[in-house]
Amino acid sequence: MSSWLKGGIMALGAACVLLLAGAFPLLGAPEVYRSGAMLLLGVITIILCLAGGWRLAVGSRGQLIFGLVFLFFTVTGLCMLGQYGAKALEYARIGGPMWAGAVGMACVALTGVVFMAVFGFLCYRVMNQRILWLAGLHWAVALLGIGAFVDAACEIRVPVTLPADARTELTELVLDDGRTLPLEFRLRVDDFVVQHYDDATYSLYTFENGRPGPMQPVERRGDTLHLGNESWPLSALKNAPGMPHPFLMIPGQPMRVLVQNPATVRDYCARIVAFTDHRGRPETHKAELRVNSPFACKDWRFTLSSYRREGPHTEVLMQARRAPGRFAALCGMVGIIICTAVWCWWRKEETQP
Amino acid sequence: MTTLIYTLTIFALLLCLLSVLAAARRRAGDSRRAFATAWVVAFLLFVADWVLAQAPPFGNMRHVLAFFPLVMAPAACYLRRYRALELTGWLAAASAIALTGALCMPLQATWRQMPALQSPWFAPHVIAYVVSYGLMTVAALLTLASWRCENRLRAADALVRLSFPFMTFGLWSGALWADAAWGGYWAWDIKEAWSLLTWSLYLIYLHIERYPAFASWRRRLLLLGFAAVIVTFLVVNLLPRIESLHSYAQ
Repeated sequence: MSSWLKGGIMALGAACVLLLAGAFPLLGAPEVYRSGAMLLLGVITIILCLAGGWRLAVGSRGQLIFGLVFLFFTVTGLCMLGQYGAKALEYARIGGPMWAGAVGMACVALTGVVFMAVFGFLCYRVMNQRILWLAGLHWAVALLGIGAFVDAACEIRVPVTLPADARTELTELVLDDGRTLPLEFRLRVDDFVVQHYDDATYSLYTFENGRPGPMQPVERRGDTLHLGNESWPLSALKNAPGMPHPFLMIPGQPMRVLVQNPATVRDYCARIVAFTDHRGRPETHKAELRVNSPFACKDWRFTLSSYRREGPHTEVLMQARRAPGRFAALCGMVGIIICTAVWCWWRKEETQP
Repeated sequence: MTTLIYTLTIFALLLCLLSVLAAARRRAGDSRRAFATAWVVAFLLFVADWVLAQAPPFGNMRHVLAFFPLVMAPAACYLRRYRALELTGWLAAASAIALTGALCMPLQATWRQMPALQSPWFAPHVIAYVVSYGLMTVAALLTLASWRCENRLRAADALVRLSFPFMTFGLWSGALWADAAWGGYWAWDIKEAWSLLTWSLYLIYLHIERYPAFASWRRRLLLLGFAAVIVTFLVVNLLPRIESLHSYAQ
C-alpha cells in the first residue's frame, strides 16, 4: 500500500471525526465545520486527490485529459437536454399548446441524444480503462474542493427584501457589516402570485358579549358547508377589506361567523424585471422567480426564499448570491457522480490496474 | 383508501416474510416468486399512495419505507443475473423491515408537496437514497452473518459497490438541488453533515477493501457505515429536538 493511500485514509478518517464532532450528539458543535482544522483538512484532501489522480493515471495521462474533455461535452449535452426539456414541459404546463411543447422537447431530445452519443462514444473509447475513471474521480473531488474553497473565501450572500409594487428598484445590496455594494443592474418585482391547494378548512366562531367563544370545525361536502342540521353554500363566503380570509356573518343571536382558514400554499412566483445595459444599450430581462428556479443576472443569482403579506402589500424575500467557485464545485459534483458510477459498475474482470 | 393502503402494506409484508422463509428453507424458486408478488403488491401500494398524495409519494417516512420493496426486487434480479449472487431472501428481509416500519408510521393522508419539493431533482434524489440505503442494509445483514460464512462478506462487498454510486448520486444531487432551491449547494445542515459522514465511511471502506492489511477493518467499517445510515435516515428525522432544513421529511 502506498503512503499516498495511507495518507488518504487518514484524511478521510479525520474528516469523519470532525463531521461527527459537528453533528453529535444532536447538533454538536457546528462551528467545527468552518474551523481552521477543517480548512487544513480540506487543503490536505485536495493535494492528496490531485496527487492520487496523477499516480493512478500514470502512463495514460493524455488519454485521461482527452477523456475528461469528452466527458465535459457529454455532461454539457446532458445538462442542456435536461434544461431545455424542462423548459418545454414548463411551457406546456403554463398554457402553451401541448404539441408545441412535445415537438420542442423531441427536437431538443434528438439533438441532445446525438450530442451525447458522439461524445459519450469518444469518451468511452478513450477512457476504456477503469483506473482512468478512478483518477477522474479523484480530480473531480479536488475540483469540488477548490470550488468550495474559492466560495468560502469570496462568496457574498445577502438577504434581500423587495416589495412587489412594480416601483421599488434594487440597485445596491447592504452587507452584514453595513457596507453597501452597488449592483451593475436594477431589479424590480412587478407582481407576486401565490397558488394554494384546494384543501381549505372552515370554522364557525360564536361570539358571546362581543367576545369570541368556542370554535367548531365545519365540514365541506362539495360546494356546501355542513354543521349539524345547518348548511351554507360555499359561494356565500365573501372577502372584505381588512379581513385576511373569506367569511360569512350568520344573522341571529348569538352572532356567529363562518371563516375559511388558509389553505396550504402550493407554489409562489415573483415576476421580476432586471434592467441592464449591454455596451451602452439598455436591456430589459423579464423572468419568473420561483423556489426552484433562481434568476441569474451578471455575476449574481437571486433565489426566492419566502414572502410576507401585510394587507394588500407583499414583500418578496430573496437571497442574492455571488459565488465565483460555484461552477467549479458543481462540475466537481457532476464529475464525482459519473466517475463513481463508471468505476463501481465497470465489469469486474477489468478492475486490476 | 386508508384501509386499502394498510391492507396492501400488510399483504406485501407477509409476502416478503414468505420469501425470507422460502429462502431459509433453500427453496430459491418459491422465494423469488413470493418476492415478485410482493413487488406487484408494493407497486399497487405506490399507486394508491400517489393517488392519495396527488404527487410522487416520497413526502414522509412512511412513503419512503413503503417504496423499499419496489427497488429491492429488481436489485435481487440484477444481482442474480449479473453478479451470480442469490440474495433474494436477504433483500426480502430488508424489505420486510422497511414495511414493518411503514406500518408503524402515521398515514398522513393530507400530505401536500411544498414549493421546495416541486423540483425535477425530488424523485431521483429520494429514489437513489432508497436504493442505496436498502442495499446497504442488506450489506450490513450479510456482514453480521459473515462471521459464520466468509462468502457473505464478498456478497456484502458486491452490494456496497452496487449501491455506493446511488448514495453518491443522492448526496451530490441533493447539493445541486439545494443550489437551485436554497441558493447554496452546502449549508452544513445536520442531515447533510450525517449524509457526508455516511458517504465518507463507505469511501474509506472502498479504499481499504483490496488490502489484506486492513482485512479486520472491513466488517467494522461496514457496520459503522450502516450505523451512520440509520442515524442519517431515521434519527435525524425522527428526533423532535433537531432543527433541520430537511424537517419536512419528518
